[in-house]
Amino acid sequence: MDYRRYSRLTIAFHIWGVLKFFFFAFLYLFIFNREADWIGYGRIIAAILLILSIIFVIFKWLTTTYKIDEVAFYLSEGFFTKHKRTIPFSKIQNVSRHTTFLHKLIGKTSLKFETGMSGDGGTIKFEVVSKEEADHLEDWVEKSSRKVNVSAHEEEKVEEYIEDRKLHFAASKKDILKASMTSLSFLLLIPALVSLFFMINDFINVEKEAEGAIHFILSAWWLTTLVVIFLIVASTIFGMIKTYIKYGNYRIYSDDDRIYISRGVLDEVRFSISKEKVQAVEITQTLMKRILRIAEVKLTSAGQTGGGDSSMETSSLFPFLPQKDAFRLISEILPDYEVAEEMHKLPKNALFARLLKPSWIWIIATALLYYFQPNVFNLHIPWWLLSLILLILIVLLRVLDYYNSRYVLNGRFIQLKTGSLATALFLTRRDKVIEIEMNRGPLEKILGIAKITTINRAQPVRHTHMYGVPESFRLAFYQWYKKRGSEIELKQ
Amino acid sequence: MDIDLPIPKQRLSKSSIKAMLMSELIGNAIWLPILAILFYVDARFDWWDWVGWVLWVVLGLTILSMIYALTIQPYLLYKNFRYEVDEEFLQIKQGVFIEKYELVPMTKIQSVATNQGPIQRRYGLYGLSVETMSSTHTIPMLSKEIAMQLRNTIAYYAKIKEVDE
Repeated sequence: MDYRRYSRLTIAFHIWGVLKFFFFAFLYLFIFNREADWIGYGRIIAAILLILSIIFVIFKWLTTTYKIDEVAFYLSEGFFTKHKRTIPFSKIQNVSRHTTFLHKLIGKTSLKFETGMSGDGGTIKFEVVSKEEADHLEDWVEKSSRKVNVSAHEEEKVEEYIEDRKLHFAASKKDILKASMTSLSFLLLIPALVSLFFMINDFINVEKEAEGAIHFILSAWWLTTLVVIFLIVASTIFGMIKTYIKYGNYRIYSDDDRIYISRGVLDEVRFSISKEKVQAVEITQTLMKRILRIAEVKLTSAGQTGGGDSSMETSSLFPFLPQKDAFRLISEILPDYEVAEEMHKLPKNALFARLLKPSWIWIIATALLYYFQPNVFNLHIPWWLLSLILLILIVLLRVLDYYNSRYVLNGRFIQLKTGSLATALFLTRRDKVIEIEMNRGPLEKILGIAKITTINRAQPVRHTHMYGVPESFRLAFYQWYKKRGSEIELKQ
Repeated sequence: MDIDLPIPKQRLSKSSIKAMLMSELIGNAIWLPILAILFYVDARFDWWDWVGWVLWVVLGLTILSMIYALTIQPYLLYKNFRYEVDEEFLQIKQGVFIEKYELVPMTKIQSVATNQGPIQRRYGLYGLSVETMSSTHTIPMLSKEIAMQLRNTIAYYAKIKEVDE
């Protein structure tokens, strides 16, 4: 196969992006401010920039090409300096699809293959492809990369491989409703209204009229109540719609090798990762979610799941799972992961150590409070009281952290739970831990405790700490990691 | 006690104590004149009061750290630094007050290099730096023979990679 260009529609998408970028500038230059003197120059400059951007987009499309064979992607780009890259399929960590509303209108989608390398060079992105082509590409990469790894004996099995996806979770209306409550998304209406107000105010002076309206509303109590009720209802509905658009159609599938997560109503996002490439699993709960017994399960991947857009959250299994379903879902989706429900508490000494450790935040804050003696909200609170309040808060958080902390070694797995208000339970397999570290200072030595750290592949590399485990566990942790050698698969 | 971690066997080169002393001497020989100049400039140009206080505190700390650094610190650093390399792992234990024990699988090592600064050269020592996906681990002062041998050993073991990379 020869090098070929991306779909012609890519140009249209890029031009659309450029137009969006210039939209407000043009609104400002051509619709409002018609009288200003400098407007002529401004218009000319804006027009030149626009034309240059469009030319750039076209040239970029003309000079960017790709090639695919059985083992790798080959990318070539650049007009003056040619830049070629080879990305073998075996390096690909996860695949994501983002179907925006625009994509939907023309029945296409965008496809992204992410590797563990950081920076732009790490991803291969097809901005506009048809659904069939995307399926084909994904299948091609999946099958080819498996052929490289499996022995000839298993190859037949690959051929027989039938698409057999099992649905593990589909968000119900109740889940979405709960999600919109927990995420407090109904509060989003207020900032949205405020920013809308200021944006309009920039062009037309609404402030004066608004003032009159507010006076009118406040003049009768029944009118005030009505408006308040209306605002509450409107913001709740707004929050629900927003949550529905983002998390509606949330589905988690898996087959023998891969996990698929898709979500979204207008913008559809689909994420898939090979089970072997899951580096760790994490269950996180914010304070609100803990109260409502909801949890979020995240899959840690070495690929870049960030990248500025909303895809960050795609590696998360549904963020609003009922707590009891979280464990079930993990063991269903990743059958070789074992979740231990029973975990050890930290020894009492770990609490002492947490309380005895100096808090730099408190020391610095106290020094600053003493020096500036600020008058907070005009309440005349003395500086030492503020410092005391801060100290109590810090102690409280540390005590909570002590009570929430749990740890356990369970066969090949390690489970660490930490956090004071929001908690996170981290679960990973021995062969996915790329390094470990154990620390202790004089205080910890006296108290017979230590800090242990696991380091995992992620973007960026992830360090997970557990402070205050007993020394006997430190040794167990060391011996546990030493047995790693028997489990890893080595390259020839 | 049986709940303590096993201590890695290898140590730094004995002459690392002398090298560390020398580097501390040089460091202080550069820093003290700078401090003296600051004192002079402070008096000459009548800077704010607090600058004087800060300078005195810095001087106090410098003297304290100098006493420590030029007497027992090099010995303690030497005594507490241990490493061990085998087929599967690189182990490093270090730290005088805060003890740090690292365990790095050979398969996860991406590169290994020896390096030598001017002071190390004076004593015929080499530093070894081992890079992994998450950080760089250094074994600072080894004799030439051991450093080269260790570099080759690590490079040999680290050639083997795991499937998922």
